[in-house]
Amino acid sequence: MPITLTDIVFLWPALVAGLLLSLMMGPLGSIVLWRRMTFLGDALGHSSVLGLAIGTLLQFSLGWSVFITCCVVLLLLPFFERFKQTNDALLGVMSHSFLAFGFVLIYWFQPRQNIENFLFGDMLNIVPVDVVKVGGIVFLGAILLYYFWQAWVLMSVHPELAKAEKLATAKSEIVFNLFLAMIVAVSIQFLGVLLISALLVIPAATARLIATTPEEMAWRSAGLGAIAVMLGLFVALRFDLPLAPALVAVMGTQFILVSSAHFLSIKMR
Amino acid sequence: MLSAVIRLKNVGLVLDGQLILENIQLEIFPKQICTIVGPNGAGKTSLVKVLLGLLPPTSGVLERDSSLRLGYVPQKWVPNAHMPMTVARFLRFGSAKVTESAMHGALEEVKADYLYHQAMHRLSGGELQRVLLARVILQSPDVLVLDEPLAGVDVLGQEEIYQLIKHIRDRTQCAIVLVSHDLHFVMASTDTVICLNRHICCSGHPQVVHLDPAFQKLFPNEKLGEVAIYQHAHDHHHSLDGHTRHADHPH
Repeated sequence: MPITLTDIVFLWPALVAGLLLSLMMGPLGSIVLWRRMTFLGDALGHSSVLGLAIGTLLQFSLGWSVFITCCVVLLLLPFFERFKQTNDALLGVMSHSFLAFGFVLIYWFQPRQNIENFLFGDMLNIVPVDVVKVGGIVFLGAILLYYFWQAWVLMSVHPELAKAEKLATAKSEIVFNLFLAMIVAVSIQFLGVLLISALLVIPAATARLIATTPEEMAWRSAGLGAIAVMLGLFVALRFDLPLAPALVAVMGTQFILVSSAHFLSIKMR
Repeated sequence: MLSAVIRLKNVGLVLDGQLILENIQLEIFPKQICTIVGPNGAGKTSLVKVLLGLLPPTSGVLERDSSLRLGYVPQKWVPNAHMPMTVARFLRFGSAKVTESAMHGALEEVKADYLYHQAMHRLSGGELQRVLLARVILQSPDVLVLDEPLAGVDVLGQEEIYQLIKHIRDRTQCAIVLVSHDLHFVMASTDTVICLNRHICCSGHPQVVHLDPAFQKLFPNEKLGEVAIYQHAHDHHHSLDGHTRHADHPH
């Protein structure tokens, strides 16, 4: 199926929203990797099902209900640490139980609700209003990144050094968590539960191989994400595939190509 | 003498129901080097974290000017290999306006300019300590806290690290708090040694060992200019259950 002008007109909201989100995911995903929080990305994504379920049942804004659920997960973590559980165990418990609670709620009250959109997102139904919403959130995110970037990077380098030298505070930590919850909430409806942490992790992991400073990694990760969004949209349209899996498949391919090239360049040296 | 920049009064610390520190009286003075020694588990790192404001004391008071600038060289730090970071980028933390020539200058002072473009996670133990000290030179803090700076540094490098610490004190005029697990050999320029085992067991001035003719006779070729010996003056024992007993004879 060749791509026509109508397709492009039809697709531009998905393209713009996807590009904006991928720009934000670059730096955010890099920090998530540095702080070894990939499980947290997963847990927030999975717990969003509960948020989506509650939002759907109460006919409340899905974005806000996901944001609130994510905040609850982030608040529960330090609380549960007192029960002598590792962070990984806690995140595993929360991630899967919240996912299950969400599905149970949905099936219980609205058995006919289509849950596929929860899992894989619904990028093709993005309307211009959504693009404005995403644009607003990304703008806010850019301001936060400008003010907190140094603190967030140094928190990842050595949290106690950062605190002792007063370069990062409890506030910068809380703002980071809220920022992460916000980005998850705004992107979950488009990207879906299963693929959201892929967007955080894969471009950043690829960028790690071709960067020498934290800033380089953040920018290259954003760039790789943006390229993947464009290629993913093209592939999905050309071969009539669901968009989110096509997008993540492109990112996976990027990682394989870059890491093979990296491996070869080390061998050749 | 100048007045203290950090003062601990009757400080006690309980973590997870365990008594870590008790009845600590400690004053840190400008331009002075204070060495904290003690066995493993004595609470040295916890004491340092109280000084830095990372752990709030359970009892007692920490007096510190809020404008006081602190530098910290943490213990056994292994840079995160997940994060790409060159030495030059690392030096820029906390001092965004630092110039390239200032960074080269600081690295030259610690004899590590060749590491400018090196990745942090590829540095050896001694190189890492030098880079951390170069960053301290750029920051020029009022108080510098070093938690076991000799850990992971080979014997030849240790003497040099001590010389660098002394150089930093002389240049930036900061107070230095140094933690060491070696009970008997301390840095020669130390002004006060604090022997810690949950409480302060004894404190005093070290004896400069390399000036002792008996020592020079024994080790004529030893380059131990920066090492001094510390004679403990304890008036109590520590039994295995953690209680202290008063001793009849100091030892």
